[in-house]
Amino acid sequence: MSENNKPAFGLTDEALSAMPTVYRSDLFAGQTVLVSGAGSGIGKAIAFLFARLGAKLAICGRDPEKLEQTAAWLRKLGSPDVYVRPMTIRDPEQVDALMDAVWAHFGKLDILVNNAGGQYPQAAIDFTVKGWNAVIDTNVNGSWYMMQSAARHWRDHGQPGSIVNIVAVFERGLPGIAHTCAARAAVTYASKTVAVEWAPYRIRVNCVAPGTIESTGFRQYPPEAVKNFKNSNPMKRTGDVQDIAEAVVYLAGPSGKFITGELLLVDGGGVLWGDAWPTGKPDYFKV
Amino acid sequence: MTKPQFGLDDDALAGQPTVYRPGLFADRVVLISGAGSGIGKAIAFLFARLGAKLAICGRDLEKLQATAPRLRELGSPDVFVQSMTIRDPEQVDALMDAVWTHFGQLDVLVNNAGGQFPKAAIELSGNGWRAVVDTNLNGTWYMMQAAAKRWRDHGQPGNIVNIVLPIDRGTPGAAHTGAARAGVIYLAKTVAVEWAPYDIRVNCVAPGTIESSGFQYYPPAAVERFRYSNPMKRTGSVHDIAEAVVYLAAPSGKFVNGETLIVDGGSVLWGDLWVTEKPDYFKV
Amino acid sequence: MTKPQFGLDDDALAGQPTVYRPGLFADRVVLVSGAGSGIGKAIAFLFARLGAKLAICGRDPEKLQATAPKLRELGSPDVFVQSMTIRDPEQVDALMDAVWAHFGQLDVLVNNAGGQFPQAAIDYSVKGWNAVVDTNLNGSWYMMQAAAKRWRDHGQPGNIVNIVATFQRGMPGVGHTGAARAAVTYLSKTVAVEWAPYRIRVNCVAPGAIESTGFRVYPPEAVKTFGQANPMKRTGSVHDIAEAVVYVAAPSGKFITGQLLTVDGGGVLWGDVWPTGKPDYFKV
Repeated sequence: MSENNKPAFGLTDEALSAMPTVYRSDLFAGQTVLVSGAGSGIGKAIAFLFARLGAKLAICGRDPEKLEQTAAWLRKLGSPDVYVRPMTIRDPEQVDALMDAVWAHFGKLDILVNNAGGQYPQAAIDFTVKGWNAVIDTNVNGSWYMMQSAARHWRDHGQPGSIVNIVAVFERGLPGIAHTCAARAAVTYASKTVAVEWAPYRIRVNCVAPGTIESTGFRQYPPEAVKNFKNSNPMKRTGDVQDIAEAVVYLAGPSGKFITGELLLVDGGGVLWGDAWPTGKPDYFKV
Repeated sequence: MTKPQFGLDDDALAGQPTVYRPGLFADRVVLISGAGSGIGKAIAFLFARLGAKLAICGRDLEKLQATAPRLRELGSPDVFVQSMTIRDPEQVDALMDAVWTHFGQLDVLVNNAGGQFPKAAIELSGNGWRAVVDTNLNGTWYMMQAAAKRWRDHGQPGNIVNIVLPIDRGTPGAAHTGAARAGVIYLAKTVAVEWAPYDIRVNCVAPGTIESSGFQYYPPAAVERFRYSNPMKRTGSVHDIAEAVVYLAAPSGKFVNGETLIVDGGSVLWGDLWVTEKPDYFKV
Repeated sequence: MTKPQFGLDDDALAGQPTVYRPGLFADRVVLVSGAGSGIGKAIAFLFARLGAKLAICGRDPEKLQATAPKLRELGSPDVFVQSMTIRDPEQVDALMDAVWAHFGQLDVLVNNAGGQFPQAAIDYSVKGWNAVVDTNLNGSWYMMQAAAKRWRDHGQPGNIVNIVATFQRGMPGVGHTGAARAAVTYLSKTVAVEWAPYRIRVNCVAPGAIESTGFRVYPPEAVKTFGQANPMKRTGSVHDIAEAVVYVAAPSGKFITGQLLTVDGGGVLWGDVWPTGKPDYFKV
């Protein structure tokens, strides 16, 4: 992507690949990492960073073109082996097939990053049944299929594992995206449960909750909402996708080897102060 | 009537002492889902004793029909019964329409219906996972939204209490329901804000190990352990939950919004609850 | 050097693999309190290996003097030592003045100093209670505020990491420190907001059962259970905490403030820690 093709939000691929990192460059040599939703936004940033740190990568997502573009970058950035699989996490059979393929290709998986997911802003009282179900199915069920399928493979191969789920800052509720609030809370607490249940298999399970992170995903929100995003935390700025990538690496890597069941918020303190309103702020709340 | 294996029989339940004054819910209409047994029945009993008009729903018409006359006996001036499943949004809409047609109002919605089965997470089937998420999370959502729309459209204030679970430490042996209940808890927090302009309060009650007929679905060894899962080393009563719901639903809770009230004898702090057989690994 | 009874000796600590790149803290100044032993020493060691200039303080001048040359060996270009107690606000002010006089700046403050003794809460003396609250809460506060004032007055951004404890489920056997650490954590959340205009980030790291020389203050039968007190069924290393502190202090944490990062092997979810030894009542 060239400069004159700069995205409306977030970083170009060149800028992303040049973001400074705190980690040493061979940190994931010999390791295999699977990232879902790696074709854009936060998922792409996570894949980029793991590639720069020497990981072999499996990437999946629904859009094959985006994945192929990402894969080319990952190879350029230093990943010795990149495996691409277009699929949807909403279909448990496709999830099982993905995991089988990863094990067939790499013989193992060290880290699973469940980044795929999504939502659309709408007042909860106006949600349709179909809209609600779509968000729950992708974010809750889809993430679950991925977690469980990976865990079964790890158990059956006698290999340890590490899962990082990308969720959201749901502690104060998420007015304007109630469906995803419910879904991300569900994923977080499922993670806490299996952090205990799967400890005997040496599987760690953690979550990262991004606050307002500037990425291409901003495009789906109304401009007046986006304008206010930087005021939604006490730092009064948005985070960048690299902030999330570095959080994932911290938890997934040996730095996090004594951490499980944890939810790491990367939100500039937004859970403490600030008001996001992805639908635009209703008049009632203008105080 | 034979004594139930777990929990209180109807007479014992009806005779539980209550802290609340008679007539507290006079002229109020309360809708309770899953009111045919267990915690739901206890909630219905207490509201009836406090003078509320009641709408009760659930999947098993027989159980509801057995409960309804008891509610009238206990003091409810009007009891409306509808068998349905909360998993079907059309049945939910029909229920709400029927409640407004019958009573002209609804004051309190208690989302108690729900359920799960114990299973190691790694063994859960896709269908099992989806069924629990669908009932507990989606079903509860349909009920919340359907009530909220009507409160908004009628210009009436509203009040929702969802029965969930203590999820703070995860729910080993029941990952599906822990996920679903977490979803409900944080959904409640979201709409506590979004629906504040409509004067709708939304709160949750999280029962710990409460002895009820629901115990029959767990392995006997697990049930034996339940009472050791909190520092009080005993189980709670369905009536404890009923009194918590009334506290939030009544004027006592009029400044409480988005809250989850945990009634668990302290189990989120200490104790080890395995609703499946406890794996050897965790016997320390 | 004799192997310590608990934790890592200096050579083992210095040789722990790290995820961070060399030079990460070049030209940065980091102040670590309680750096003479245990977790504080591990934090200082890692910052030294990453090129930071270091200020270390603590009550025991001998321990600090023994630590300082090791920090230089590991790569710290400048090590400043001051023995003092954080319980005296005047000594805290003098320390901060000395740091600014020596380095002209401070980039990261790590409040690690603190401590407690195991005792059943019912037996605490007023003096014992006050000592723990004074050190852990008041002492940490003096340090936080003294640094923040200077950052504000010099127009420099700042960064605080407080070492607390896993207080989420209460802390039976060390209730005083549980209260003090919760207080520090929520104080941090407050000033994370209040001090955001000064570009000061404030975060906490909560170590679970981390094997260190600090284990010596607990009865042997309690120490034996520490490795069973989380679902990983092992203790963590002081280096795990050092890497957590670096993560939030470094640019990796530049969008993180007001956060509590728990490093406990999942101990807040499952496991039973009794620093006093487990009372019979709780043997279930």
